[in-house]
Amino acid sequence: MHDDPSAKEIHCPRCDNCVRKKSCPLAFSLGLAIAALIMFIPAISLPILTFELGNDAQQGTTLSALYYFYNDGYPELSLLVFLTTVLAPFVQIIISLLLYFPLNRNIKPKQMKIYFKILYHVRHWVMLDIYVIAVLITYIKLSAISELLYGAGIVMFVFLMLFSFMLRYCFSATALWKAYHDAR
Amino acid sequence: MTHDDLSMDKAFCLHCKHLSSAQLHICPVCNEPLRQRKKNSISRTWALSLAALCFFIPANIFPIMKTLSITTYENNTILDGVFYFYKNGEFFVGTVVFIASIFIPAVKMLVLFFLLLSVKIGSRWRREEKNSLYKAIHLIGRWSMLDIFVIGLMVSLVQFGEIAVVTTGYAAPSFAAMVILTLLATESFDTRLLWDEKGKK
Repeated sequence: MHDDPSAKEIHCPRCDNCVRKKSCPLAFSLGLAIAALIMFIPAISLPILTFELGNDAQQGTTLSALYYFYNDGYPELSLLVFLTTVLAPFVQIIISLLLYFPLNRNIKPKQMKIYFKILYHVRHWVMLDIYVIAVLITYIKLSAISELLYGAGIVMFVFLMLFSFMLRYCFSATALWKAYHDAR
Repeated sequence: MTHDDLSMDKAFCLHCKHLSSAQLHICPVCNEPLRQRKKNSISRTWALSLAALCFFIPANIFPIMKTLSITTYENNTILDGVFYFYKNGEFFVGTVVFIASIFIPAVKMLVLFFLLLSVKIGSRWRREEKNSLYKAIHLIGRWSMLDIFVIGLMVSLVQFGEIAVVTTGYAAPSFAAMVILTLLATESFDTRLLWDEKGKK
């Protein structure tokens, strides 16, 4: 039923969409997921930018943006930002770990169907790359007014974004299901 | 004479990319419900993109960000933000913001309406190019979220009591709703419908 999915990419002759994607080794994806998990907590909790005005300074983290949206009376925006920059990446990392770790050791993960479905849908809601560009634009906008400092958070965030992006790039449905059906 | 999945009675699972017989109702590989086309693709896409259009207008005419300082009180719409960058000589950033928050959502809705209409009349004209249009809006659509993140960062950074405070404007939820609705609309459109013969289901 399954031929080797890592062998070749197949594109639809009519619309040129990718029908079968080449996969990175599962161990590579597992490594990415672990690296992303390590970056996750510092990335969202360390200050991303610090804005100085006179003697006063204000630190901005991803979580403080959620707080101020909520404070301004827009809980729905707070929820949306939480979903796209915190929850979706977190779920993507955790589910990737739960899938790749057993598959890498040739064990069938329990609940594969649910994990796969979550991972399949959550990919579209990870918007870390857009957030990084938003930080850049805010920096340009505010640096015209007063002093702005980079925080450690932005370095962590760029790494988290890169790992999460590569995790998404390496995701191959065909390879995952082949590994599942081949496993014990 | 076409050899497509409908005439050959096959169904392609979008989840696990496995091609199986259309007689099966559940994909043998990943156990997802098996369909030849996305469920209610046309009506869902119409509904979601029309809803997005309704939010497009308030999102653009009402202020999205308020700036309060000792001397000034400003209500900024999305366009004001773009002009602000142009005035300060930041042409590149101004263009990025313009493209992400006004151009992309507008183009996305226009493309979706165009695709829906050409499926409706069963047009066979330039299907490959239409498919490329869909791919393009699918790829760049997420970037409209940029403005929401920028506002979030501005609001959390500029909090200096009576000296300067930035708060969210009431167009922001409309803008966010528009972005999410266009994302869902793009997701629910099935490009294979462009190739289907009219009248066949």
